[in-house]
Amino acid sequence: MRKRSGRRLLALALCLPILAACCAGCADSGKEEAKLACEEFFASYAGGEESGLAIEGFGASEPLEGLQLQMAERLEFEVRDASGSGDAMQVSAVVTSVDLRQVLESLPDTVDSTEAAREALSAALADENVPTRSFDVDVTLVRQDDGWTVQMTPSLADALLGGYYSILREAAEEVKE
Amino acid sequence: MSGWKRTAAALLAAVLFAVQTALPSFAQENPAQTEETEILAGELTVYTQSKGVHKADAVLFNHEEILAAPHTIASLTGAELTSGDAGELIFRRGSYVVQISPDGAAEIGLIFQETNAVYLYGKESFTLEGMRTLPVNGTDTLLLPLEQTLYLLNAQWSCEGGCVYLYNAPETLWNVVGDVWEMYEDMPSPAEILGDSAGKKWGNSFKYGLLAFADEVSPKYLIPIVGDGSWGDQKLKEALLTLAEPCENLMGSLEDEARSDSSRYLSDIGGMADDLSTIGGGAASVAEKLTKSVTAWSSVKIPESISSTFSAVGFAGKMAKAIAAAGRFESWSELYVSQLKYLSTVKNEDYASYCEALNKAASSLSAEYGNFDKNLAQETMKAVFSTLGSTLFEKTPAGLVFSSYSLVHTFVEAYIPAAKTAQQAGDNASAALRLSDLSVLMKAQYAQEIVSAIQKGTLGSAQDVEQLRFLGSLMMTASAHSHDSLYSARRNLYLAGHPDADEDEIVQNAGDLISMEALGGKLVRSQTAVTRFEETSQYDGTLLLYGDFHNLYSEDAGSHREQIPPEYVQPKVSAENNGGNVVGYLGDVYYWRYGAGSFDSEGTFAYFPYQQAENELICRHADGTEDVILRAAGYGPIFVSGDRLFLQACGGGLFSVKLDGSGRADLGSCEAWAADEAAGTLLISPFGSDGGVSLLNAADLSVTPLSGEGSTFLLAQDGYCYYASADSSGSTPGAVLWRASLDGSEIVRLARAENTGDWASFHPAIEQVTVCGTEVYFSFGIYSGTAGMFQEGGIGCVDTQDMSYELCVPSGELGAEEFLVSKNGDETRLSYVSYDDGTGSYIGFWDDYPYRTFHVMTKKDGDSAWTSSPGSGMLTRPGAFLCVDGEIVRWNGETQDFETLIPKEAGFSFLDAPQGSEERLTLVTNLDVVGGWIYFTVEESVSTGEAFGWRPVYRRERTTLYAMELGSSEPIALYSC
Repeated sequence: MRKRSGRRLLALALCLPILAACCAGCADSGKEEAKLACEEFFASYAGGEESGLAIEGFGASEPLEGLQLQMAERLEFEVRDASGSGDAMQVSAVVTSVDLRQVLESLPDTVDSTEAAREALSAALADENVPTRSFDVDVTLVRQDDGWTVQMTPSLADALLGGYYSILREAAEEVKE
Repeated sequence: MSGWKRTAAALLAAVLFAVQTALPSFAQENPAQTEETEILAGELTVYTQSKGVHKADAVLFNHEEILAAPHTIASLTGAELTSGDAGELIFRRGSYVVQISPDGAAEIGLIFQETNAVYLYGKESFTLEGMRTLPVNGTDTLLLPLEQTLYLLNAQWSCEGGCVYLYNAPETLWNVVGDVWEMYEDMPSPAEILGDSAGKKWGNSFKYGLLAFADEVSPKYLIPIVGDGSWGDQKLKEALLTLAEPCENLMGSLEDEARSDSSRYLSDIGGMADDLSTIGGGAASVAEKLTKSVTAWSSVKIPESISSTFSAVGFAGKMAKAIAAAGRFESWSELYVSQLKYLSTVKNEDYASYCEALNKAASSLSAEYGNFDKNLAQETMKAVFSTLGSTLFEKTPAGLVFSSYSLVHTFVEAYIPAAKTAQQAGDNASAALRLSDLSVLMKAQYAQEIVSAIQKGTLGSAQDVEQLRFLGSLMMTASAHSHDSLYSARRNLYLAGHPDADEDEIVQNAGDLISMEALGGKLVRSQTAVTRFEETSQYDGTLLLYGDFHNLYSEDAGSHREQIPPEYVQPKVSAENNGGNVVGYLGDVYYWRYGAGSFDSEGTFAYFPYQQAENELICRHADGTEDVILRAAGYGPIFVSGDRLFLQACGGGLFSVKLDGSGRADLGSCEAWAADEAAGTLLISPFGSDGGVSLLNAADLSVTPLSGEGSTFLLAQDGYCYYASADSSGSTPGAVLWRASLDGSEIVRLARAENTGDWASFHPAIEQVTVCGTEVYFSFGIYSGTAGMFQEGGIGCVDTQDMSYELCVPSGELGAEEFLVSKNGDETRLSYVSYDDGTGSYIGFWDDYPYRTFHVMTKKDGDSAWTSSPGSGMLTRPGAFLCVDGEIVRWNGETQDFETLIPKEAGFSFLDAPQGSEERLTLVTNLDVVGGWIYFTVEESVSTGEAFGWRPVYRRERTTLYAMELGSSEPIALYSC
């Protein structure tokens, strides 16, 4: 009996790492899928499309336009690690985007209207040497039926828009207590 | 994406590529006309707010099923009807769509920004039972089950005294949800709020650059600004307290604009009840039912002291208005407490720390002011109403909204002393920013709730959409108050430096990154959105739609639907093409048969006037046999009323005979304008400069004068007759447009037109009238010269709901009298020939030619300005027939396209634009459509080689009357002379 028990225990002991390996594999495939979805999202955004964004399920995925498109076309990204399990994942990424603050600071003093600013901004964003900066972002993805979609979060929005929200937060300090 | 979104794409494809074609023929076989199958093609008497009591075509199948044509149902519900590629019928009420496939399967969806569509009720399966194609008046006609289709289109109805009283809400919650992206566009812009701060910190160019960038960021990327930062609890509370107050500027300088913007979404239950009360008979009890059943606030008890102030006359209307006002008051007085309670517990993972701060501030406020409850609100409401008495109840719905809003918040202000603090502190910018953040948080919550509601696929009860409404309303309330705070901030800042500035100066100068006008617009629209959310709550019952139609008949508040008794469908007593050259009545067709001596033998432009001659009045039966019922010196238009025929005498005058041609009565020197054959009356006008309008009773041929003014008939449509008279009462000669009901009970002066410039001393002529919904458009101008050219004129429009008048095309800018107007959803489209496009003329071989150079003006509901652009295609007046590419075509107002009436295959040699040098000409001189057949007169003539001045002279060779089935190309010659 002991010998058989021993063999059974050994069999179980041998199986456990295999089982663990299988589960890790499942989790890994989810992470890989999430990373891939994240890459596809950034790639499509940089190409001027909003594919893969969880747009509340009823909004049209439309091409980007105007200044936001110009900014998106400058986007570079590097997807790093994924963490999480089940239907929610976090993927860390480094996003290099136009440094909006520097671009705004470099607008000439002659800009005295929104229309003039728009033209100047467009010209600045078209410049090959437009200043950029990097953002460390944790991208949140959720599983939806047949794929992963990216949730718009404050840090992601800030990165995609070149620090737009950071600027607003800083300006908001003036009106907070 | 999910399966429902893929199928939504199919719906989207069907909608986006909808082709406006004639209704498709369906594969269903027509039921054999056995003894068991009985079809009564008749009509229903219906009441709608837009048209009052009128007849609607309906079919009673086998004594019990009431069916109606799709376009009839569209008209009854105010829906737009188009057809899809695969033969689907697509009904649209704004963003709400009901799509019916040829097999009767119905799908309901919502369209966002005309680019995306989602299914609603995905878990229900709707099939319209009784959808059939039946022969109606000799034509196979697709028919839908009336009640089931009305149910899907959120209509309510009540039946009384043989009439179906229909009520269509201006919109439901689904329509409001469908505008979600438009609402996002009106949300606050943090860059606009923080612009000054950014300017101080980084300079002006930075400030403008920031705003320019912000303008182009899609609402999808909106996030709260200060949510993650440290929040001052007191500042957050002050911001939340502003929600308890009405928007300061909406109760001030922007009040009129706000009322006007909201008014188009408000139901006028009170007005409808008033209207019904005046009709009398069964309608009065419907009015009473309406006030109890149609409004969702019927549980509110009006204090006896209030109800006793109402007199018997107009009671129903006042009661409905009182219930609506009380309901709004109560609803809004509870709303603030509900909002605080919600904000005390709201959670959102993405904005976790912000929600924590909100929870804390809202809990604190809620605890402090939590005994502001329903009972107290009701007690206050009673006291307020008893002191106000009838003052409140006479207001328009929009006025009631604002009065209620003001009343409840006056109460709140008294009860919560600190409510004024935030504004009085002058810290408007801080409040604006915090409320902007709140609106963004609510945007995220609202969006999640929309997805949840759609994915639910069915509604168990109205409570299932309560949260959806609550979140959307809070989102836009926060938005409105944020804009209001910023508006006040700008205003106060300007006043600080310019204490004597008036309102106009403030509006002109106080704006910086965004003009005061634009900011005010956002504020008004945000408030209107709140009103829309609140106003639609009373119709949530109509959103409870189920595939088994188990609640088709309902007496629930806000979703009142009664079974329509089959006997309400009555046989039609109507003449087809009444007043035309060929008229259909009770299965027979009547027309004049002319002889060689009936016309002048020669005429300029091949036009041969009628001569004094004896002609034959023919009655043609359905089997093709004909009887000569009368030989008399008569010609032209034939009117039917009260089982008599009214005919124009050669040489002038009107006379009448019975349907068999006997019992002739001469009626003197007058002309017939419009008949009400069911009522047996005829509107007539005497010849002579005095003109005037009288009502002739066909039963005894008595004549009752109605008005001394009226000389030119223009249009008879939908129970009204439109006509004009010259007017010398002003300093400048003018023309007046009138409208009379066919029964003569109502004559209204609609508008007055004048020429300008060189033509100011001449009376203009009103030339064409077109009715589009409640709006009456008319062209006016002056013809002059030997060629009879249209010199110049204008186009006016009267909205018969409030009798407001607009000069759409100013006098002097119109180049031709013909125009087209149509309505597509909320957009009105006016096509006209501008003075720059060229001038119109009627001297030619055809009565009408198409214009190919013209302009198009478009305007959305609620907008004051038109957008003009060059038009393309052809333009002509409705009802005119044209020769285009050798075919006779006519504008079809239902399909908004030209339809071919006489194709080339029919074998006639029509020329589009004869020059007068042609040896022979073939023209169509009259064309009438009756019972699916076209009756047209073809005149063949030869050139005499002579001219009268510049006008070529032709000699008549042969005149032939043809009949041809619509859609075919095989004419049957009825006679020639």
